[in-house]
Amino acid sequence: MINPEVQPIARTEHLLIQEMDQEILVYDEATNRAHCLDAQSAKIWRACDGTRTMEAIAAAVRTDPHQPLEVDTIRIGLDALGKAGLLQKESSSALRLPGETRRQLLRQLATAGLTLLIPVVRSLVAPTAAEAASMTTSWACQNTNKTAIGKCCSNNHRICKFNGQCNGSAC
Amino acid sequence: MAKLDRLGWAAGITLSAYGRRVGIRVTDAPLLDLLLPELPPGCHENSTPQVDELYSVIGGGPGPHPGIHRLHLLYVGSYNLIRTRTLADLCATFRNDVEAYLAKAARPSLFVHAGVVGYRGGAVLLPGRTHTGKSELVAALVNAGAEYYSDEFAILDPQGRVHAYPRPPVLRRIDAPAGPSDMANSPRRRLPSLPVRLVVATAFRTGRAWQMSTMTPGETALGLLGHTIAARTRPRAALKTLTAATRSAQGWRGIRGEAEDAAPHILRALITK
Repeated sequence: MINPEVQPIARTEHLLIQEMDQEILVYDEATNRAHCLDAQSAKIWRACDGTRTMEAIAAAVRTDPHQPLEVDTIRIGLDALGKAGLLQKESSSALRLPGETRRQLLRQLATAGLTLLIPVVRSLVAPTAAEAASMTTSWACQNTNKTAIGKCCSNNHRICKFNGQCNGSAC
Repeated sequence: MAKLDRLGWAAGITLSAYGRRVGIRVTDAPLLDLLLPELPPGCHENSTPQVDELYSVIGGGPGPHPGIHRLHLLYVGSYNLIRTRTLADLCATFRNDVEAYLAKAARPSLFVHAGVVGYRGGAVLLPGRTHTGKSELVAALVNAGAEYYSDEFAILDPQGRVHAYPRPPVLRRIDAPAGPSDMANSPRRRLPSLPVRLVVATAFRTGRAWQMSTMTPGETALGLLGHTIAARTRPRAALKTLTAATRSAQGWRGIRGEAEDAAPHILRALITK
C-alpha cells in the first residue's frame, strides 16, 4: 500500500532536460537512457518538489477547475517516473506500483473515460555510434558486396571484417 | 605512430567535412586517386596540415623475391584497420570507416541514420537500421516525384533543417532490382536545406497493408534519437537539434508493405499539410 503522505522529489543529477511545447525530453547521462514525458507526466514531474503529497500534486496539475484529477492518475504517473529513474531513489521505491495494482488502476481510469489523462513516459536506451550507424548481419557480412565491412554484426556485436566474418573487435 | 611517420609518403591531402579535418597519406600517389571517390559527400580540400583523423595507406604488391607478395595496409592513426591483397577491400574499409568517423564526430551537424527525400519544400525522414528497406522506400518516393536527398543519413543542422547527403544508394537485397542509378549521380543543382515536415518510422512486412499511427513531437524526437549516431557523445546537442527538427513535423510509425504502395501515402500527407 502506497503511503499517501509521501512527498516525491524529481531527480536532477546527471539529467539533461529539453523542454518542448508541452512535453519534456530527458537524457539520463548516468544510464544513457532517454525519455519522453507526455504533457501529463511532465506536469506531474515538475510538481515533484518534495513538498507535495499525491493529493497536492493532483491539485497542482489539474487543468480543469471543475474536474478534480484522480489521485490514481498521479499514482500511475509517479510509478512511471520512478521506473524511468526520474525520481529520487527514496521517493521512487515508496511509490512503486505492483503490476496487478497498476493494471487495475488503468482499467478503472479507462472505465471512467479518463484514458486521455493517463500519464505516459516513453523510454529508450541511446544507441552507441556503431549501433546507430548501421548494424549488419553475419549473412550480409559474408555475402553483400563488401558494404558490410566495418559495420557491427547484430548476432554477436562484433565488427564485420574484410574476411567476411563477424570476428572483429566488440561493438 | 612514430614508425608510420618515418615511412616515405608519396602523396597526401587534407579534407574538411562537417566540422572535422581528415588527412590521407599514401606511399604510392595513384592510391590517392583510388581513395578520393570513396569519400562521403560534403568533403572538400583544405590546406591546413592539422587534422583530427589521419588515414595512412601503405601500398602492397610484388615483394623483393618471387613468391613474396606484400599486402596493402590501411591505418587510422596507429590502428591497423585492414591488411589485404585486394584494393577493393581496402577501399571499402576506408569508405565505411571515414563515414562512421564523420557521422560520430561531426559538429555542429547531427547525423541521423535515415533516408531523406524532399517534396514541396519539405523533407521526409525515414529513420531505420540496415535491412529495414529505407533504400527501397527512398527509391519509390523518388520515382513518385520526390527529390533524392539521402538513403543513409539525415544531416541536421542546429536549427533542425536537413541537408542533402547524396551518396549512391545501396540496395541490400541481392535479388532486388537496382534502384534508379542516377539518384545520386546525375548532374544536379545544389540541393537546399529543408525543414522537416514528416518523419515516417516504418517496418516492412511482406503483404501487409499500410498501417500507421501518429506520434507526438516528443515521441518523434525520441524515435530519431534512437537512430542518432552521436546520441551518447553529444546528447545535449542531439536533444536540442531534434527538438528543433520535429517542432513543425508530423510523426508516423507503423507497418508498411511494398515501397511502391507506401510512397503515395507519404507524399499525399505533404500535399495536404
